[in-house]
Amino acid sequence: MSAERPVPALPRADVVVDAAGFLCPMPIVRLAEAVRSVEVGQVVEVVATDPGILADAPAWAQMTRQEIIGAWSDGDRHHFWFRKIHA
Amino acid sequence: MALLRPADSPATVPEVPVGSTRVPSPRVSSESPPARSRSGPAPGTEPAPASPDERPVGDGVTIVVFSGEFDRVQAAFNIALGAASSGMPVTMFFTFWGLDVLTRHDAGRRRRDPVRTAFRWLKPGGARRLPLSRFNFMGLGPVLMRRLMGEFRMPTVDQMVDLAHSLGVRLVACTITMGVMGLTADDLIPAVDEYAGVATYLADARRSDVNLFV
Repeated sequence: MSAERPVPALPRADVVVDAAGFLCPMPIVRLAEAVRSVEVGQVVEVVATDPGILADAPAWAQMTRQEIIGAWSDGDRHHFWFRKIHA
Repeated sequence: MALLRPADSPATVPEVPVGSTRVPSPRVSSESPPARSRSGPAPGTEPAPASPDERPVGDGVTIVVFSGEFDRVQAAFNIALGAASSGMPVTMFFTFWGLDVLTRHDAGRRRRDPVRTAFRWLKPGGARRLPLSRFNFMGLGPVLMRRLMGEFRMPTVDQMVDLAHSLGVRLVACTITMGVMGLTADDLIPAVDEYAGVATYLADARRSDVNLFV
């Protein structure tokens, strides 16, 4: 984020998966584990430093029919918020 | 650029300053899954996937793991783990050198006929003993590669086998190769789900629309 732009309000996560430092496919594997463990309607945030997540997170959401409700990159740390909408 | 909603939607959705990165299309919750291109039912009439045996044609991944090299096997497991984590049924068939992945590390100690005993002694197998397909350098390559991958916290092949097993990936050992190489079920790791041949592979492959030979 540039300095003059305020950090926007970020979605609130029920579970946070810190996959920083992990490479493909581990961020997706751990995200799937977390989404499986929560109830429908809850939100999982994944944090990853592997830039592959920028393409993989939306692809995963499409395949699993879950919803991305937010995304934000803080330098090389990429955050995605997923709402579980399918069991 | 707003990633997922129009710019005038409520401010709870942040922007993504990711430069020229490909912007994904928004996920709409009511969207039906993409239609299959194969000769299945028309889009929208597909029944929801039930048990693995009743799932529609085109849903799933099969991977033939023919190679026994560390780098190739790692790539096969990357795909398998990604697919399993995306809700796709995955079957991996291990044949020829790929069977080294499923071989117990102490399988070489078991007594066999002379030729097969010598073969096991020369090529003991085991997920932690796999060579590299290039830059092997008499075993130095894999040691260096494992160290580099460890820095990136990549799971090793034996960890990937366990992970795949725990995610429900079917691990199938080719019985023909087992016979040729003198391996029995006792020589393989307990994670193996099934011992089968080509018909089992084909039955699975024709139901899957991702079929890979590694």
